Amino acid sequence: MILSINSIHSAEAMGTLARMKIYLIKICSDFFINPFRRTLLKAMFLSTFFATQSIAAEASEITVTGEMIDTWCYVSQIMGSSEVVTGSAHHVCAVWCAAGGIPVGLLDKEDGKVYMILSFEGDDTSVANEKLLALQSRELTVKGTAFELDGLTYLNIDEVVSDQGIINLTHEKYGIVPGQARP
Amino acid sequence: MSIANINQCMESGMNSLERGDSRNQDCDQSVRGQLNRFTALATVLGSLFLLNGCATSVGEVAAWPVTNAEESALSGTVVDVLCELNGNCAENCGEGKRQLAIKTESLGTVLISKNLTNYSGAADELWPFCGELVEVNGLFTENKGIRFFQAQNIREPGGQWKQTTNYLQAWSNRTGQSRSLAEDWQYHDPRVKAIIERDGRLGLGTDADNDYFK
Repeated sequence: MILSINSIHSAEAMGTLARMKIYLIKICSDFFINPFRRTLLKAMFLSTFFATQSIAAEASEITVTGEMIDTWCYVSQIMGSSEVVTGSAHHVCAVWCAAGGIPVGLLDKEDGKVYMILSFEGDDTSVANEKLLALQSRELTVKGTAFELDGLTYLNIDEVVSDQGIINLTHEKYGIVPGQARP
Repeated sequence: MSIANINQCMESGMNSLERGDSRNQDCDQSVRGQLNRFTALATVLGSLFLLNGCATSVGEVAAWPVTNAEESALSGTVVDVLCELNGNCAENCGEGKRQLAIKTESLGTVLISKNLTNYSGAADELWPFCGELVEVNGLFTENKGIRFFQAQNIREPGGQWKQTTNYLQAWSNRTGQSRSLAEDWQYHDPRVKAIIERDGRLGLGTDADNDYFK
């Protein structure tokens, strides 16, 4: 703002600036004199403040590769270590949890970061989204928008670039977890 | 084989690796067998808690075997996470179709990822309170850099506690199946059944299932 003001040299621009100054002085004097305008200005300020607050999260466009996981079992380890509750060993449970509305996550293959998925290819239904159910345990490369908010990373998936299928064959080592998922 | 034996085998394996030898196959198989038994035990215990989690009285917090779990209570406003992030808001917080959180003064926006019923999330518990102040209690866990909250009871500030089991009735309404079937809904959900029928229980196709489960 300071830079842009300093770069104004033309007389016309100086005139505009002078008019803006007068208008600002008028608004400020009104603030102290007119109670109605004071209330209105306060409301405008507060609504602008809260509107800014509600969309304060920083967004970044990313491409990431990882496994679609059941985040509850992965984080809580209620059925065993995180290795046990990923891949083919945990496929049925991952489908159950996604169908039940537990957040589906994408486990970054590179750094182990978990992205909580909030929308998929333009569909904002992240709870029990039928497409997400069908993708559980599969390794995907996706493009999307990531947001950081209070310690969690959320992801809106815009596009599935490639689907490698289920390549984490954990059933060979751990069997089926939980046992109720067996036929 | 005891824990000490497992540690001994692991150390022996590590030493062999450091020496450049091949691993001790007997130890490797024994440790793997033991770990599989531990996994099975953890699964059984976890499943028992999943099945019996609702046995706690209304308002009390059941102790599920969750890593780093802390009994906790939160109060704040029910918010739609997507709406908080980018201003993409839905009426009534999406009426159970979006992930919801509680916006608190002390902890910021806390995603509520789980309720008290089997294999289900918290959207059906929270959306009726969209934009309102609530109190919830349950289990807080932080693991692998992720902070999760399982809400077990919910109430309006100072009101009567209610267990977070709305999901069962909501599932029954959505699928047109009876409320009694909802108790183990995961076996009766039409979408789940269709996916398993198509992709198999391993997700690798029906042929892989037939080979594995024969």
